[in-house]
Amino acid sequence: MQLIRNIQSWLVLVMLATLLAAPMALAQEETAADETAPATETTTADETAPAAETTTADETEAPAMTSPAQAAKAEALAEAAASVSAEAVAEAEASVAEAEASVAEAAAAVAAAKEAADEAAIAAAEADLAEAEAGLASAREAADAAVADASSVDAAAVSSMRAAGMGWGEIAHELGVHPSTLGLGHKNRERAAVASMGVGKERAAVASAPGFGKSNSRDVKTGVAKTPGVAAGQGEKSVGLSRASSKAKSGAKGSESSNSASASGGRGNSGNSGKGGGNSGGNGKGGGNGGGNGKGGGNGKN
Amino acid sequence: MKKVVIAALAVSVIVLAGCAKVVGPYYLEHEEYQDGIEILSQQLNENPEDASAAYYLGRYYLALNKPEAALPYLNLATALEPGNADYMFWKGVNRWALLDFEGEQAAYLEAHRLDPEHISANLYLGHGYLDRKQWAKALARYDTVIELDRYNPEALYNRSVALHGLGNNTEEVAALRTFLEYYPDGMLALEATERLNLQGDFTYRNFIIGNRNVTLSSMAFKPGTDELDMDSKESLHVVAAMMETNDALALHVVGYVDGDAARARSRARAVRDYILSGHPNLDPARLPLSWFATAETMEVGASRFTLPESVQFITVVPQP
Repeated sequence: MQLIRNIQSWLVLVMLATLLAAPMALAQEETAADETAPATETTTADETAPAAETTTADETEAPAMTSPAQAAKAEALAEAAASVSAEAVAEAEASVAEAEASVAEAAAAVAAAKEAADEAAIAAAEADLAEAEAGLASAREAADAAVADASSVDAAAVSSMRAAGMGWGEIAHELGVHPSTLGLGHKNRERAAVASMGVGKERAAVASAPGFGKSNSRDVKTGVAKTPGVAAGQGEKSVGLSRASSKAKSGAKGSESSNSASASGGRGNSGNSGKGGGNSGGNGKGGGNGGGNGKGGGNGKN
Repeated sequence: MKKVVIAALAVSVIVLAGCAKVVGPYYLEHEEYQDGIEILSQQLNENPEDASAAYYLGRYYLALNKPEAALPYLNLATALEPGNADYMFWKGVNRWALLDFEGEQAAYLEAHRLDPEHISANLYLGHGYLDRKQWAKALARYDTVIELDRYNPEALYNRSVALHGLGNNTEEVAALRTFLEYYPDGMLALEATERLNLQGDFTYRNFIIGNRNVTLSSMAFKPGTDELDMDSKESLHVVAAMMETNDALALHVVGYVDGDAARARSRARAVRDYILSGHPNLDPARLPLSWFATAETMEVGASRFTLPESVQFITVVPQP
């Protein structure tokens, strides 16, 4: 009997101990589960996956070039290829000039024939003129394509630059595809001439045509500082940094680009306000003379 | 009474329509110079004292590249109205077109006397001084222009030329950087960048991208990181746009960090990743990477520079 009582006591003690120990054991299990799961996730997320990415990039992506000398050679090749392309642009531009001359010549012939009232000559001259005009259209198309191809700028954007009054030569210079611009900043070129053109060295009247890269030419049409870069090409970031930079400005007071969104092509603002900041139609101080002349363009005292 | 008012209005319209000050700007703005010459020649014949008609006739001939024909008209305009700064300014432009540089300067000085805040007179006076290599005088004029017209591109660029002439290289570099900040593309930007590089400043660089010489901000990263700064990102937008337009364009992206190949590689990757991030259609194979644990050697003109940390773009030329 005593034995039975002892066994019962032990059983009670064991049960009590079990009851007391069970929650602790459960709590420990939960704690272990809580700690283990995130640790596993962390291991997976932080270590395994990135390690795989790094391994891929590091091990499979070998450098395309293995030495700076190879890079220098590649650079020289790229410059040479661009030079060939630039010559093609210059040739396309020359073809347009030639075609324009042919049209002018044919138009003069028509006028002369009309003056002579020679019907046969008029018909022949008009046919020649039509042919010359077709040739000009074709040359212009080819020049558009040549400039667009060389510059990696959309052909429609190039057309918009021409519609804004720019010639192919000017566009090619401003987009950096003309032979004279390719060397700027590269080794195969003489040091840039920073001095101005010098008195009397150049016939001034040519300045009514764009003064490519000249910062001290006088503009005989507007009298206002020329806005660098190409006109138009609205929002086309491939045109250059002026279309992508938040700090770029749209030109001098009175310049067309500062007054016209289409002419500016989406450049930044010009701060074109206040006295002297006029539009080319003429307003502001004394408002009078147009055409972008005078004080900041378009302002005058009449 | 009503008839009288209408008649008065009609007379006013006719008078205004015939006034050179009203019709003159029209032909300038529309570049219909020959038509303008026909109309205003008649007006000047009818009223030989019409300074405005003479002025616009001079402007039309100048715009047509006929400075000899413009001369008598602008002389007449300034004689009839000697207090008009614009007329005097254009007389100066006319003299320049005739290679009469002394006459040009005298006219601008007079225009400036009449109106000290005449932006164009100040600007072209500056140009004249630059032509004569009178650097300090040129600089003073350009500074005046910038006070009146903060973002005037010719004044901003030519300040740097004048400062170069004065031998002030530090301020020249600052002036070039200011110019490039506002006008970062085009022929003048290419020249400004080359001049900047020649002074050892590579904030901007000209890269041959495809068949084109393009001015870009040099790739810059937050110190000790591969995180591109905003100017660099804007330049990469230009590169990405060119690649979108031209399917055949492929570029080597070459990282240089002297003594740290891993950093050079990660920066080249950061540049490529940024270009690709907004342009999922671009094939990463068009942007092959290279990296070197050396400084980049740059040759500009006859000068050679080393850049301890840089990223270079080199157009991939297809093998024949």
